[in-house]
Amino acid sequence: METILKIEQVKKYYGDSGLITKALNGIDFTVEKGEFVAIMGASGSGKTTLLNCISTIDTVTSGYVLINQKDITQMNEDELSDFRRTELGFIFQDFNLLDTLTIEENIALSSIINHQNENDIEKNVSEIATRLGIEGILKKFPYEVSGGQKQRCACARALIHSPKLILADEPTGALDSKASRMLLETMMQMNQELKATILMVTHDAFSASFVTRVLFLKDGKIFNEIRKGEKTRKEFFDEILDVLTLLGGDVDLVK
Amino acid sequence: MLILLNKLAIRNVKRSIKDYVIYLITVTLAFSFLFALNLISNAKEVLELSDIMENFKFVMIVVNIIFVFIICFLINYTSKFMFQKRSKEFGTYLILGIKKNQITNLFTLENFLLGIFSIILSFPLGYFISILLSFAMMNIFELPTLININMTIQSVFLTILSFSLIYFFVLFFLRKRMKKLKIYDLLYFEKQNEKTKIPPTMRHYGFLCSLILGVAAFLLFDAQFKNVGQEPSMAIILISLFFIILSIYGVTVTLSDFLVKMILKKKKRKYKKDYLFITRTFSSKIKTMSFTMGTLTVLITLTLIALNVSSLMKGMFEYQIKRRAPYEMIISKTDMDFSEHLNKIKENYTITDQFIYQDYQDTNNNIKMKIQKEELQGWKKFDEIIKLSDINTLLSLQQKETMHINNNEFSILCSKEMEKELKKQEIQQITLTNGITLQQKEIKSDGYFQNLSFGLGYIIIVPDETIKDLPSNNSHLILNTKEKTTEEFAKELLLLSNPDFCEKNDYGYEICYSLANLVVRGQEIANNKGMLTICSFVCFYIAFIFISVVGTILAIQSLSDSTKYKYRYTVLKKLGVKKEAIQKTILKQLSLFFLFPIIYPFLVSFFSLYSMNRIFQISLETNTIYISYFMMNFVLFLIIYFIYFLTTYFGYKKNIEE
Ligand SMILES: Nc1ncnc2c1ncn2[C@@H]1O[C@H](COP(=O)(O)OP(=O)(O)O)[C@@H](O)[C@H]1O
Ligand SMILES: [Mg+2]
Repeated sequence: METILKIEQVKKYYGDSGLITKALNGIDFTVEKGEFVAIMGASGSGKTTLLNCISTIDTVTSGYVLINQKDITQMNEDELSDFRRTELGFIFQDFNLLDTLTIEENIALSSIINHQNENDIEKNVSEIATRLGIEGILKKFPYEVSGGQKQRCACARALIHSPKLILADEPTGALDSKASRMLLETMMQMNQELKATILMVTHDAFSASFVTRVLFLKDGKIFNEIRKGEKTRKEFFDEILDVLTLLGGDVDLVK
Repeated sequence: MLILLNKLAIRNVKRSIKDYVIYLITVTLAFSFLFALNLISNAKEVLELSDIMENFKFVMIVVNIIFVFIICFLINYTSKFMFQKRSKEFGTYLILGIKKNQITNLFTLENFLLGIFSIILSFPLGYFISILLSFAMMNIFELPTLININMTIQSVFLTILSFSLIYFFVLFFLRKRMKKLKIYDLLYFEKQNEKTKIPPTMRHYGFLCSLILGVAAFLLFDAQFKNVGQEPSMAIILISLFFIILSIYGVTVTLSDFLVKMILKKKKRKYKKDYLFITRTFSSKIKTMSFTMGTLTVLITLTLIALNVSSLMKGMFEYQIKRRAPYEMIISKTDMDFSEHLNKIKENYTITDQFIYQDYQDTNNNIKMKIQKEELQGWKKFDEIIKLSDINTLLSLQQKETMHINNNEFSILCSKEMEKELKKQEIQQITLTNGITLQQKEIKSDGYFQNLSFGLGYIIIVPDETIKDLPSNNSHLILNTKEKTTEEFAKELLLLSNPDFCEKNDYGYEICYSLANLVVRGQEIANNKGMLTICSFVCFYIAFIFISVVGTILAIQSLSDSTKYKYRYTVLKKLGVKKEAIQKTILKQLSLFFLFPIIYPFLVSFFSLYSMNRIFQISLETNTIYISYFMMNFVLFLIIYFIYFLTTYFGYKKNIEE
């Protein structure tokens, strides 16, 4: 098995003298190639902070973050920029698509930046779009399509350059339940058919039941971890609910 | 890669043109004004004036520099605003792996393209604005022409030069700011709190210190206008202006803490009505944007001062005309026969008022002997006298109060300069050449005009019957007409008069001069336009520019706030706060926001005008007319300001309700 992500003793403190918030207080875990991992926890438990530290959006106070055997805490700005472009894919709660580009151009942007051949890019885009069921809206602008379609466009954008790791922060947060379900199925398909490694932050059990492993976060520390294994989705969902009851806090049980 | 970025930049400009409308309008207007200012300062009339008056040239240079600074500030401000709007987009670029350098280049390029687009638009627009304003001023001064605006290479060149300088600095600071930003800041821009950087100790004493600095600056300024005849030093005036500006910034930056301390100190007051809420929101508002607020306050101060100076100049011009030509025409002759003139005038004009009177000589020279100041001693050899009934007709034609004197009394009507001198002398009693002795009733200047006693500066008014046996001097025809008189007609009339003296010029032509025989208002206005009118025009123009800048900043600021605070209002709505209540809150906040920056300027502009009036009053119609100038200007300002306020309010409401 190939380790894609290795987190060692990561700490992140906010604020200076006086009031310090320990958002992450010593976290260790690894993600193997081909895994679909969810991070759960009450709001304020440090989920976003953790994801930001992994995604190089934020810096850690101490500890190491190794992605594909490379320590991102030691890289300079330019190296990080190249690293993000080639090794990482992002899906945000509020899509973060560029309004001035069409869906097609949004998906293709990182490939264009990577100097890929134009014909290859076009082929890739249409292939991924067909897989994710958005081939019909490629020429439209983000404001002309629904939230679910936007989020699947974001998935396609994250997938296009076959990154080592895809990071998603509450991707269903801005969607209704039907669109959420469709998106989660899409992500599952990305994981199973395209072998994408995905790390997703969520605070609802329904979303988490689609993944292969769930990590529970409490007060900046890993509290528990469960695997899906051979269980059905319903069984896995119930198990997640049980852990959440133990965990306490304001976690949405059902979407 | 670069090619892609260029494409993206051009696309962004094209596609997000709606977002960029505010930016474009601001920058285009700013450069239009700059270009118009350059057109005006390069107009022939203004250049000539600069040749005569060193100070004027100096002032124009200072104004140009200040204006370039203001535009720099304005464009910097607007591009910051644009940057905020797009921070998330840039964050997304970074996330996708585009290097920060490239994004910085992209935004720089966009700004530059927009700048180029704006400056091209601003040439025709600026030209149009300058013509429009010049036309407006022409009407205000009732002049046939004031300034001829010509597209000159110099003004185009100067504008382009300023553009390059401004964009160099704006883009330089923009890049510096962008280099410092992290992805996190860009992606989570909206969630960040704005911070103040002023240390608390400075904030405590800052308010009082700034106020003291303001008072000191005023005293320094005031000292320049203490004595009539002493030329105010331009350098010291500018220094005091600089101190005032410093003081304004100081007060704005420190006021919020002071307010909170004063208003919320008493517990009783703290929880009365919505004091707490309004004080807190308002003070946090000024705190986060104290620099912008300071700049606004400075600009409003400059607007009001420029308007006041413009009014003073205009007032001087009007008074000058009133002193020389209070009626459309004055024709003086040694005999009473004006039929030739009247025929000529009736051919061209409709006469509305017509009056003929005579003045008389008194060789006892009761008054003439008393005048000590050399420059006030006229060249006429005798005192001049006018009948009470005649002067009252003349005064009522000017809409002035008539005079009353008893049978044994006399009065003197004279110029302002003469009034001061005569009031110093003992002239209680005079005896005319016909032996009649009269007591002094009063000495006044209101309603005096030059031709009433040309070459003397004063005239004695006596009861009608006391005039008997005195030799008459000249006869005068006073006319008002329905149509305005012109310079050309004055020349035609001149041909009918007996010239005072004639001389042959170098080419052998005979040129005749007629000093006092003929005064035509149209000609006086044309001859007297010059320094005063042009200075007044330039000040008016500057005021116009400043107020436009103020309005733009306020509008952009509130509109960007409304987008930012939309979330807050959505929360309020969800909490069940009624729509009307929210609107009321917005109205209250905006009113405070608009009201705050006019308090200090109100005081500064009034007191500076009060000081300046001490020197100017001698050339103004009355000593207190400056108060009415001040009121008029302030009201004019408020009207324009109010239009901006309404626009902003409705824009704000619309943005939030969307
Ligand atoms: N920029 C920040 N400055 C200070 N504290 C922060 C910042 N971001 C997050 N925090 C704090 O860190 C903790 C974890 O936040 P976050 O990671 O956003 O939680 P979650 O995403 O799980 O809801 C919270 O207590 C939050 O208040
Ligand atoms: Mg979060």
